[in-house]
Amino acid sequence: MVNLRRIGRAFFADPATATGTIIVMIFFGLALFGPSIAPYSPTAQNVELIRQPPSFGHPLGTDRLGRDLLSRIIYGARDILILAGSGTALAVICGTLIGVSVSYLGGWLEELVFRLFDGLLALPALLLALLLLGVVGPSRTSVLLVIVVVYTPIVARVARSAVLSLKSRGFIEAARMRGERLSYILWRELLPLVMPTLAVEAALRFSYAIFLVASLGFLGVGVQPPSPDWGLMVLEARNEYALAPWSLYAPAAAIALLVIGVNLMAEGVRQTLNE
Amino acid sequence: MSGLEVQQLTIEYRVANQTLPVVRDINLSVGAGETLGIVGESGSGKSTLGLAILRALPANGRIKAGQVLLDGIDLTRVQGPALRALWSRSLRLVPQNPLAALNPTLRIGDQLTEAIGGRRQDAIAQAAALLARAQIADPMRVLRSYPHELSGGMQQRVMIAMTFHGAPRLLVLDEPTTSLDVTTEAAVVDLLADLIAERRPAALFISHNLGLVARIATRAAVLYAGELVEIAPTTFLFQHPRHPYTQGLLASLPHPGLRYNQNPLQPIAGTLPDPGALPAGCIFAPRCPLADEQCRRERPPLLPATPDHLVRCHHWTMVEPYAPSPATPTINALTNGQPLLAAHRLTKTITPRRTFADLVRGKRPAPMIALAGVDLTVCRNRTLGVVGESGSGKTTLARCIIGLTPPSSGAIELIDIPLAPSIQQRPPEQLRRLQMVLQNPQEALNPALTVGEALRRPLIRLGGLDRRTADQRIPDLLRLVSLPPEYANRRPHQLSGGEKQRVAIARALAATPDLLVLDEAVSALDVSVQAAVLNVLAAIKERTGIAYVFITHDLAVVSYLADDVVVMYQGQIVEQGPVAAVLSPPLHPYTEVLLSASQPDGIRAREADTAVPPPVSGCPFQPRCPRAIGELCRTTPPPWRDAGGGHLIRCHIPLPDLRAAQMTD
Repeated sequence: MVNLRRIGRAFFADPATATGTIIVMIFFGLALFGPSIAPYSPTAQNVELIRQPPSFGHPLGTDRLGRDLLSRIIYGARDILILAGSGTALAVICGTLIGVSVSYLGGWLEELVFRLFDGLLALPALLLALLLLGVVGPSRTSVLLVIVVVYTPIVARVARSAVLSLKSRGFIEAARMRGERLSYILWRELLPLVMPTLAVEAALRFSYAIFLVASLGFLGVGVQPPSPDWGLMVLEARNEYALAPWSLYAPAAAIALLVIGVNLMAEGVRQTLNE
Repeated sequence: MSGLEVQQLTIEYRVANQTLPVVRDINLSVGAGETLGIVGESGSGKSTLGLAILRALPANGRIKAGQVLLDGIDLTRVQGPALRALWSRSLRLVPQNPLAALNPTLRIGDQLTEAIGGRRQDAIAQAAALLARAQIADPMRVLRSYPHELSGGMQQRVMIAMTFHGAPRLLVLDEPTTSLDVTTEAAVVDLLADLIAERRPAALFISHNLGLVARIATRAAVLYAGELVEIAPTTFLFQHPRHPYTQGLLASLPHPGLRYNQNPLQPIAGTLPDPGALPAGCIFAPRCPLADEQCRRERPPLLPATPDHLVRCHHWTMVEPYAPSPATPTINALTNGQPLLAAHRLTKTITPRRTFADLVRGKRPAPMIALAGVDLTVCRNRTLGVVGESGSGKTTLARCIIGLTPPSSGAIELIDIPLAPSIQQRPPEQLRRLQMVLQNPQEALNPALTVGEALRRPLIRLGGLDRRTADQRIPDLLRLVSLPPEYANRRPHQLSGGEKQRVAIARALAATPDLLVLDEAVSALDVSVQAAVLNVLAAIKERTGIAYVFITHDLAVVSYLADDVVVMYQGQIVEQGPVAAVLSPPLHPYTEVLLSASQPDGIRAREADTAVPPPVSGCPFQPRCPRAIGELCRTTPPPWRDAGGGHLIRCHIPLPDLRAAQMTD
């Protein structure tokens, strides 16, 4: 149905999109092959090499416990991509299921669900995340849960706006006139048409999710030490910025680079699907 | 020279790294005070031509060659401030959709005075005078209104008033009445003709509606695929077209006297050439019945058939005058079909959602009555035409029959089986027997599914076929609506509007329904395509014995295709009967107003005064009725009068008087 080669060509025709895609692919590579690339273990401490500036042995330097920053960044890529990726995927699935079905059905159910979602969205994402984590306690699973709870309403609203413009179209009425089951109308007639919009939204959500995971790590309520979490690394490095500024630069740059890469790619997805 | 002179104008559009010459080598001239009609189907380049002449092309369009001289000044060379000065002083456009052209956040008065300029006090006085000239009854109230508070006809009058301030030299009317009801259209066209005669700009009237062009324009140019194929005085053009395409357009146009079973319409075969791949010789050759080797090889020049009748055809001498023999009016008695579907006392009241403002004021929004007690019988193997203006309840009636909108009260029976009000409660067998084709072909098909997939589904769901047998039936279905079987693999975006609507008809017919409701199903199509679809519908009816409910605002189509007709006004039926009895001559004043809307000197409905509430108890048409007989019409609901042969009229005026009025007029 979708011409993959055409999409591939469109992707690399635009330099911004190509850059974004290459950045994201590099980080995915690090996540996949991390253990074989990383020169050291991310948690191995070395008292003789604490707070070393970048050198040949440690290209990004070491932190206050003498851990190799490059290795920690590489292992951290896997962590953050898995957390943000699976969280986004779950949020998109939940948001699509709820958004498409509830908006098609309409009536008081739609009113109830979306007023509830509006209520959730009225709170800043980070505040909502902190509230949730206060209840369930910090852990990887909690971070995942937070991403799903924070982003499901947003995805559902995007799905809703797409469905509302489609549901009174002639082909939907034609399906009703032949007595199609609800599930057929929702998943065979509507879903394929909502997919492009949701793909763009999913790419955008992914970049926000990376940011959210890093933010929670930085606030100390997300992934816990000694995991090589980027946000956590920024938090730890912040206190000794005067002594070892490189230990702050490395994780902060990694976060920024990945978020920029994903955003550039999302923009490419949007442009390709709009053509 | 005074007036407009267009010389060798070529316009191209840049689309996806490709330049397409969409309008090529146009020569025409329009004198001051003259109206030239520009006729063509969608894709002919007529709007592009109009916008290019006004120098208002979209960003991806440009004038590649040629000159546009207005009173001797070449508009293609004017730039910057000089162009803006020309726009504000001399060039004017009346667009198709007035609501999109008016700023929704500004009052009419502010918009008009801004266009007029000068001191505000003078501008307001001038604006009021212009509105009064545009036959707006209460100019001061309209000046204080926002665009959405006015009806479509009023909005277009405002646009026209705005167009005629100052001294316009060039006026482009781009389908100015297409979005209006026929009755409003009639009044707006009369007004335009008046104003053009009075203010004497050179006017271009762009339209797909040949009848309308014949009324307002003294000369008309026919555009086909971006080329001028014929230009002549309108009376010549319509009586003796010299180009096979013009001839084809006229033969596709339903008009009184034509019947599907006596002298059917003759649609033009084939489709418009792709602007990226134009034929080498004559652009019309692939569709032309007269085309030969010469036509395919060399492009014909504009040849003079008479000094003021130019035609771009090698064989113009072979084109016959257009004179179809009128059909003998026959009244098919109501008895030759058994009743299939009956509706009793159908009503539908729509309660608008209570807004927050209503809630604060503790007010309930007034319910809107879409159907006010409609009785209807549809017979087997007959076509029932339903006509009326927009808002008359035609579509609500269709949706109630199908069950997409459950009626507020009343009953519908299929032969003798009562039908559930809502479609969800109807069993598949009943769904199979009633199907509907909707108005907008662009939304009829799911863009994610192929034509084959769209047609397969009803065969499986309602026809009870398995997937393999269903797939074998798809080519037959496509042939039924005159589409080649290869279309099964196409997706909707590869089809034209007419093809989409034919697929939608095939989909509705897939499970062999007993009744097909067509809700303005051909209104959005070009005449040549419309003729093909109408003929397909007629052929299917002859073959299968299906019944149609054919909803339309176009009385010519009804008189061509329908056996019976009901005329609706504000949710009520005001006249019904066999089509020949109802339409020739029309007896009910409302039917008369609808029919004569297409005539230059026809009887016109009065403009209803919105300040006076419509009569609660009397005849709903009374405020607009040109023949109302006084207090009786206002206070008492009109009785049904039986004119014989199943022809019923709801009017206070006695039948002999109604008949006499038709004899004298």
